[in-house]
Amino acid sequence: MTNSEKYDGAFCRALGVAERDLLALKYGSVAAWDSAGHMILVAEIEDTFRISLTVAEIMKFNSYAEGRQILEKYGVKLD
Amino acid sequence: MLRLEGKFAVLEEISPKYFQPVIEWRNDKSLNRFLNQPFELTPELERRWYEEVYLRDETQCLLIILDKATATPLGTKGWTDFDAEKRQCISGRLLFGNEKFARHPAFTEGILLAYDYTFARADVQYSHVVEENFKSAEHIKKFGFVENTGEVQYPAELLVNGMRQREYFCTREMYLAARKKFERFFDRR
Repeated sequence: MTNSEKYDGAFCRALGVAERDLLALKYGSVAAWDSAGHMILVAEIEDTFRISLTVAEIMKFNSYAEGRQILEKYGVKLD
Repeated sequence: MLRLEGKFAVLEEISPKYFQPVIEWRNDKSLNRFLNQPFELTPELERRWYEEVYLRDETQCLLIILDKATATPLGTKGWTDFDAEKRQCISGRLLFGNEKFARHPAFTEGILLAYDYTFARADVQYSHVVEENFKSAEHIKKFGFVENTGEVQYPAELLVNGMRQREYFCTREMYLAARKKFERFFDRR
């Protein structure tokens, strides 16, 4: 499984969204991604890639696209 | 005065030093659409409510959620109608006032701290959500609440200021099961 597939899977599991909706996904754009859903999503991504985000990164993480950029800082290459 | 402390959040009971942010949040049109407040809240009204109602009523509690690191007020959480005999209360008074902290862990941890405290004293909690307030309904479901399709416990809450509300409930067991989703995040920090 590629890192992109793992990243997408984390979103789908945490928020219950369909893969086809991921590209445009932003914080608050679906009911599942609210302040509480954000904690569930961050935990899912941290478990998937065995990392621990800082509070600043957690607050900055406001979209599917932004999350990819944050992961790159941890050396996770998303193809 | 009740004070609850977590890793990211501190909850302090309402006191005059928090009147200003609470008044600002409760009068903010983008925040108060579904609140039971058909009037402009003034410092005088808040002071009178606090002194003449709140301090004399042990069945309700209003907590201010603060970011522990900066002591920034983020919002409110609380309960009313606490019945020690029936071991139940109405959970609510959730107001997310500080948009800059939308994704900060303190807000969700603050809610968990409040539920941990109340579920140590109550077996079941009820919540009332305006029918059109889908975001709030989805939010409380993440903490274990489900719509009450049985006997309504608080009929007077079903129509407030012309707004129809639905009753939700959550038992301690339902909350503890839902809480596990958040433990993955908070336990490792």
